[in-house]
Amino acid sequence: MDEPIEPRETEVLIQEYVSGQLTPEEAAQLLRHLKAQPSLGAALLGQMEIDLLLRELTGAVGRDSQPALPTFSLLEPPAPRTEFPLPTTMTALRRHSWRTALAWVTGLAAALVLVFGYWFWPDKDNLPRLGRSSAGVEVQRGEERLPATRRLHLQPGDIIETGPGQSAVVEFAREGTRLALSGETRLGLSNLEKGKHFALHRGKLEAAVARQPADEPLAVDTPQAEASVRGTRFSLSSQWEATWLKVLKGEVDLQSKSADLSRPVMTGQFAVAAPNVELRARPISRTGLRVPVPVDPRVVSTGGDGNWEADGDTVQQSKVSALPDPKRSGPFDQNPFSWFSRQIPVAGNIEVSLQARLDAVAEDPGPLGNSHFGLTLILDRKHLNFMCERNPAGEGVARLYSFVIEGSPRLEGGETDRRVSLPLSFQTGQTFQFKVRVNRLSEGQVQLLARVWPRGKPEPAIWQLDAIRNAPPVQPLLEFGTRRCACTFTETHVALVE
Amino acid sequence: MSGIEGSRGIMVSEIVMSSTETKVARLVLAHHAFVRALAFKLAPWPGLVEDISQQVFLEFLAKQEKWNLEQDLRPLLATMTRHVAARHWRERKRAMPEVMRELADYVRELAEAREAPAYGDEKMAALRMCVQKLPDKGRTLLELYYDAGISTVDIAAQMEMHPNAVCQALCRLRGKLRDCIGRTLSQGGLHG
Repeated sequence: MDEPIEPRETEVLIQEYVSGQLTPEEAAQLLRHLKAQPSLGAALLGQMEIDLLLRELTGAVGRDSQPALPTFSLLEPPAPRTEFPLPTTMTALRRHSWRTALAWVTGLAAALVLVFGYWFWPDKDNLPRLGRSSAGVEVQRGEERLPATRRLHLQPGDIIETGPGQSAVVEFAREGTRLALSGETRLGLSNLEKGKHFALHRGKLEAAVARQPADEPLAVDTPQAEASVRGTRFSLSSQWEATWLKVLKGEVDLQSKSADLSRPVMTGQFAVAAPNVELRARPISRTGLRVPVPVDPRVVSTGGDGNWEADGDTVQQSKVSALPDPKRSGPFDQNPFSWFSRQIPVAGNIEVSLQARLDAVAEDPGPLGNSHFGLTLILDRKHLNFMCERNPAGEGVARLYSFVIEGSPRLEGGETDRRVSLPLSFQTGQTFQFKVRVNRLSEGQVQLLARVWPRGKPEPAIWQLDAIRNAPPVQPLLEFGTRRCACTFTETHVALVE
Repeated sequence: MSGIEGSRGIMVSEIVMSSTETKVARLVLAHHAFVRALAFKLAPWPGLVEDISQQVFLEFLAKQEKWNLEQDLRPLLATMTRHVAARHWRERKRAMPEVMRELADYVRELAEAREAPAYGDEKMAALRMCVQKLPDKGRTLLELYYDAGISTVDIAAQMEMHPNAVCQALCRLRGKLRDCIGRTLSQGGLHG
């Protein structure tokens, strides 16, 4: 019997097809759907047709094309007909898509070497200059700080700096190369000898690079890597000890400085240059850019009386943790956990997923109260806890909270709780799936997101727990923790996320 | 219009009015939609329609002295489009995994079985009007995706949506536009 077709899934597959981003697995799925439901074929072709029209309308001719100049803004009403740049006597031409006409005639001009001043138009030199920039963007030139005005020619040594929410464009107008800088980005023009050499000190840029002469690439240097380009569309970001390269068209060589390795990254692929991450080209998936990170198998520390045992990825307790850590001073209820920790060897945005099976609980109410189990990410002194609490009846909550060792449990300035508890019931023998995300918002602040759900149930579509915390940009420790219970932790996966 | 477009406009006017290629340029413009429609029917794979139509006209221009420009050029352009499409299709498929090839062939069979879509000024004008009728959020999404060239994943991050939701929204917007264009043209176009 055919599997039922979920319309939303089909829409996603159609979008991936239309955008040329379909993976082989998705292609197989789409093919099955098309064969099972013939009317989908017409829908797919109709979607492609409108996609082509929209690309023609906006000037985005071809998803793999060189950067296109916008010809029609979707947000603005169409320009009045009187602005049509072709002579009014050319009625035959006006019956056709004049936007396309412009693009085509421009192409003809190049192809036929009709030098009608285009390449000598004073606006079209090939020196690096600023395109459109947000107000407030500045160019640092030696000791001077210049406002980023449109068409300001850049000199070697100049650094363009954008603030939060700002953007700027560097362009080589004649050849059409554009580097679009996102907010909080510092990009320097290093030199123009044997190519175009930039330094991305931090932040993110998206580039559409026209074909470059042989041995004269456009190269972008970051603290971790160098991306060398001969003609392509790509985005590059450098933050939190990692450089992310995403190639939309063409090929870019990414050279990792720490690994002293170079890898070609092709259309539809991305790569990350970061310590402890394998440098290789990976397919861009619709879930975003992410790479698996192996957790260091060495045990950093254990504590409490839970009798922790590790067998590869499986970490298990042979005894219910009932007592507080005897090595630590202080009241019992402030130090009741038994724990086991390992090092996550990256410092950027991470996603941790794991399974925790609740093997046994201390049913009798004792001085330490309810059972707890879950995980903690420790960034320096900051403990970020994702814990499940269960009373003897099996009722409880999943909770997100944080503390600093020997510090105040209250929220610090800039910290907020959006949603930090979730009712859940917990039965002995049941396995729970944890998924935790740490997104760095700035040098000293992170967003914490989490989902917890019983294995076998569908994964929640939203992040159920959400909070902002102050935490330094360091490599976290991953700690499994229990109190008055025993668990088996398995299927631990960590991903570095762009 | 931006300054760049303005300068482009001047440039185009100069070409058209002062060169002997006026006629060729007119013919290219006049047949552009025809070639694109045929390319879409023969090679319905993302990115190929533009590649094929560009290549057809480049080859057409390279040998322009051989053609009789006074005749109906559509049979010639149709033959050229078929050859170029077959070449591009073969080359593109060679780089595909087996399952992609199977899907590509299946979609091409579907496209061949239906009438080639009509492209033209009326349809483009209808599209422009239909876009303006969309709610702001829809137009913003199209602007980000088509104008700014931002990927669905990056749009999702910007708009705090799930990437799949962006894909679905784009799909639905195109569906709405298709319906709207159909309605507009069936009612006699923009002036009907």
